[in-house]
Amino acid sequence: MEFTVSKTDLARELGLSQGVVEKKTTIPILSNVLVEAGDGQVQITATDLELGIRCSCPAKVTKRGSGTIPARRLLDYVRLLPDADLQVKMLDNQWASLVCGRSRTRIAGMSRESYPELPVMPDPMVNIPAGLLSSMIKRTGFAISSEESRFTLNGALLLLKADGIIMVSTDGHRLALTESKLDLPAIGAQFRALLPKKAMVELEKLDSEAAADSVVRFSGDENHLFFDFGQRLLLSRKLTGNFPDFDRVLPKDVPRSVELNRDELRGSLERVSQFADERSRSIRLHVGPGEVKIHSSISDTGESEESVPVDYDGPEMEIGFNAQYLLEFLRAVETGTVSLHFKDPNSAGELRPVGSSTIYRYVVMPMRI
Amino acid sequence: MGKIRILSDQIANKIAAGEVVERPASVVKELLENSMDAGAMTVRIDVEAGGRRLIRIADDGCGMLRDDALLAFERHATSKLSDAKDLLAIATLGFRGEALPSIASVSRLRLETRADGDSTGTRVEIAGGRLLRCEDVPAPRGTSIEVADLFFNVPARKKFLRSEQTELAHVASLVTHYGLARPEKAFLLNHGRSTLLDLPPVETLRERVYQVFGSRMLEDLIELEPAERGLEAASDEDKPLSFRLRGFVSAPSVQKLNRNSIYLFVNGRLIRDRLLLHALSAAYYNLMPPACFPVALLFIDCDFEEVDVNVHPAKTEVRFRHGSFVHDFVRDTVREALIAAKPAAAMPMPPRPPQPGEGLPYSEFSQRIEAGAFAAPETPAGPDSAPGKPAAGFDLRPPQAPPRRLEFDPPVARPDLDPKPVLHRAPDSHSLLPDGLPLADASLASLSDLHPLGQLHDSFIIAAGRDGLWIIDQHVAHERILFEQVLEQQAEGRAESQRLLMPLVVRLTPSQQIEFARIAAEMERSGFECEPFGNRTLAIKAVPAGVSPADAESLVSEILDVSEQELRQASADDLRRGMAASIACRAAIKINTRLDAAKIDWLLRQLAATSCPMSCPHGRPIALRYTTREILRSFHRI
Ligand SMILES: Nc1ncnc2c1ncn2[C@@H]1O[C@H](COP(=O)(O)OP(=O)(O)OP(=O)(O)O)[C@@H](O)[C@H]1O
Ligand SMILES: [Mg+2]
Ligand SMILES: [Zn+2]
Repeated sequence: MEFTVSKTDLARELGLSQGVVEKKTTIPILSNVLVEAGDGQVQITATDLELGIRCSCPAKVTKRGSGTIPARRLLDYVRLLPDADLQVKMLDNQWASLVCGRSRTRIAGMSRESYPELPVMPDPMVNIPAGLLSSMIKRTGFAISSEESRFTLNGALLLLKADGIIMVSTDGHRLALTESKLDLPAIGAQFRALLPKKAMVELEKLDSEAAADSVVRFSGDENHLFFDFGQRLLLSRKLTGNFPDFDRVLPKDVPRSVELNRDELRGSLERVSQFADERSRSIRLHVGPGEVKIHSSISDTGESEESVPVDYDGPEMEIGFNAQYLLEFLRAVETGTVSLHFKDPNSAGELRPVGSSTIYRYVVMPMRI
Repeated sequence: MGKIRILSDQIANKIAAGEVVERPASVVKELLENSMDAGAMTVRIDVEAGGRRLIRIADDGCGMLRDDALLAFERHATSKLSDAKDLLAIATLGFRGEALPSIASVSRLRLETRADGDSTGTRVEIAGGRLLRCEDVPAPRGTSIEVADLFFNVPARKKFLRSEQTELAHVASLVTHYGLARPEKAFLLNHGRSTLLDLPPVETLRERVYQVFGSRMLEDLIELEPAERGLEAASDEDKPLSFRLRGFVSAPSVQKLNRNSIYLFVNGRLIRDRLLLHALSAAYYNLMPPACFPVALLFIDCDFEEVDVNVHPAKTEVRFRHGSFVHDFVRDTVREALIAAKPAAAMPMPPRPPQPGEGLPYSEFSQRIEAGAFAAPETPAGPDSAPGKPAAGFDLRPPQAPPRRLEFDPPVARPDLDPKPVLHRAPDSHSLLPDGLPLADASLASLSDLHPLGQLHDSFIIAAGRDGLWIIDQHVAHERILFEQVLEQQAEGRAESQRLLMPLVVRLTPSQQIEFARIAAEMERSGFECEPFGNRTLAIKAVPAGVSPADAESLVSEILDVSEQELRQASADDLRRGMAASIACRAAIKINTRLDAAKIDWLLRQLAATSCPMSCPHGRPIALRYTTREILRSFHRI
């Protein structure tokens, strides 16, 4: 194998693969990237057996072929090279030779024989406009639980229907749901899959890098999900498990609500929660005529209280929440105004954006403080 | 005029009767106690063949007049009791008038004694209970008793004696105990030609502990501030009572697999007492794993009427009149001392003792003897210990051999490096505490001014302190912080609780179901909201704040299991502590979690603010310290 490639191109594509490369080197070959030179381009593949990424960039291929090179070492080195053409050559002993201007380097690689084969993507089911999935991930990714149990999943539900895409995540204390209306007649009834958190992180990266008017070709087989961006392909194993019945969790009966300025509320919460318990982050929202008062629960470090003006004349009510949960929504939501819907101190509260066509619902369970 | 009189049958019948002499160690115990009662300041004990062949005890106590020396061998002959009332307030170790006749009836005994102010001494010889001789002899002041051929006339008993090493171990253990109880007295224990214990008088208990166990042990011990607690008189006739406690307890990092390193003394008497053992365990509750025991040396002093020693023929058990008061006093004093000292565990952790001991009282020290550490004489024979030389007028010159000390808790043997068994080590004593000895000042109070360096394996915080390098287990550190926080919230009835989006339905075992019914209210107090949901199912609607829903299910079943198995008889307080420990464990930062600098800082500050930063609620250590001194030593810089 021998090819010449622009250093900038190669560094960018290698960068995208880093999130996938196995960090704990239980299987040594997985800390390598597979480099394949074909018709006018090189392909770079990385996988941790759960997730795979294949990127390509144009190259002048003198000799087709392939080899694997340690991912981290290759990227670290390539990044430091000047912006110029880089000549890569796989030597017989599985070493890769890199020549760029006056720099010459050889890196010990490994034979590609033992590199795993990635599953082949079936025909695309639907095309999704670029940028859509990443914005949905931004709205839901933070509510995924970090541990897996019978009760929670380390991933989000991806639901494709003829009229749009729904993404839902929950950690058992809160639930984030977002829906994008889209004509997807090819889906038929619906397509349901659980998307692992790690795949969401990589998908968000690829999707936000994609050209504005491009599309993502999506497909799935029994065990895998595929996201094809043209030059780049992400594939992930599906998460197995039962996602809770989110419809049951969405509050049906929320008689009261207030609208708040997002940045005011966020600033107040950030300040007040400095004085909340470090572990539970508990604060109290006191909704009263004309204002929502936010105060920290008692702690030995101090106390703090703020109020945010609102238009409200319902009954006074005090509800405890984990401030961290509220803040994560306020950092993700796009609109400047949000609404808080509530019933009583024991029932779920809900936050939504105000003045946007985006469907975004965030359900948070209260705390007893 | 003699001092000894025969007790009336009426009194004699009130005394707990039973076997007095079981083995050489019981002989040593009785004779040592007599010497103590006689006000001796120096006691020398020589034994041969583990005491089976010969036991000789010489003291410089008050001695006996000729009449008393004879009377002493009558049953119920004692100088220590005169009427039945005395039985209620026994101030001496002996009181039954049983020991000497019992010993004399199963051995060949020779007594030599000279009373204070008497010009001649007396020698009495008895074999198998028969008086052979009684004559005037010149003798030094004090009493010397030689007991040879124990059980020569009771072959059945003789058969039950264990090996020489075992019997010797028991003897040594006994002398150690009395040595600890009376630092102001001199003790010398020889086995054949080798000296097992040489304890010149010292002023403080601390020095005596050092003599017996060495500096290494002392570093792990916390000296109790002498404590006193008064008990209101129950009625006007009674005078107010006062109980005093002093001694040493080990840092929670010292974990023994048995109770053999617990030494309890009540009014100077060595005892085994379940009540006090329980009080001690209660003091270490949540500081040490359940099946582990500390090293402790506790001296309880109180009015003689407060404690009945006439419970058991061996005089090793007592009954307190105000048992639960004494229990709480001991528990609280020890716990407070542990909290105040916040001892830091040294690194590396002391190894766990390899063998679980058996039979009490019986220390690890004596087990080492049994294991053969003293099998052969090691020091060249001194002038006094030449064979056959009578033990009269012994001197307590320092041993001739270079001082060597028995490590109480020796490092684990590394057979591959050092294949030769260490056979010839004598527990040489130290007359004085050397200057500059590192004392147990390794306090966790210095946690607050540590400078964190980072994490090891995303699990342990490494920090630099003024006094060395620290390693802190992040999970157990946080666990301790949360544990105390949850306890506080429980006490104030304001445990924070987080509702779940969907109730978590869990299946219960039948016993869990019963247990739930019993402790449901306590669980709610701790932040749970659970509802029975059909047969043997529970719907969990809210969990204590900080517990991830992923952990909720196992937490609930752990609480229901723990309380069922261990806490059925436990108080509400124990139940709460157990629950708090489980909650803290689930809510705490896990290992394998990367922490940023701010979080590490926060964790260390919070830990420093806890009352017990030394161990997690399950008794695992939280922080280890590698002292600068240790580091320097390891680099051969000192
Ligand atoms: N070493 C000694 N020095 C002086 N007097 C002694 C010594 N040993 C024994 N006696 C005297 O002999 C008496 C009898 O001793 P013995 O040990 O048989 O009984 P005791 O100590 O009174 O009670 P107990 O049976 O509980 O030990 C003692 O009361 C004491 O007066
Ligand atoms: Mg006696
Ligand atoms: Zn623990």
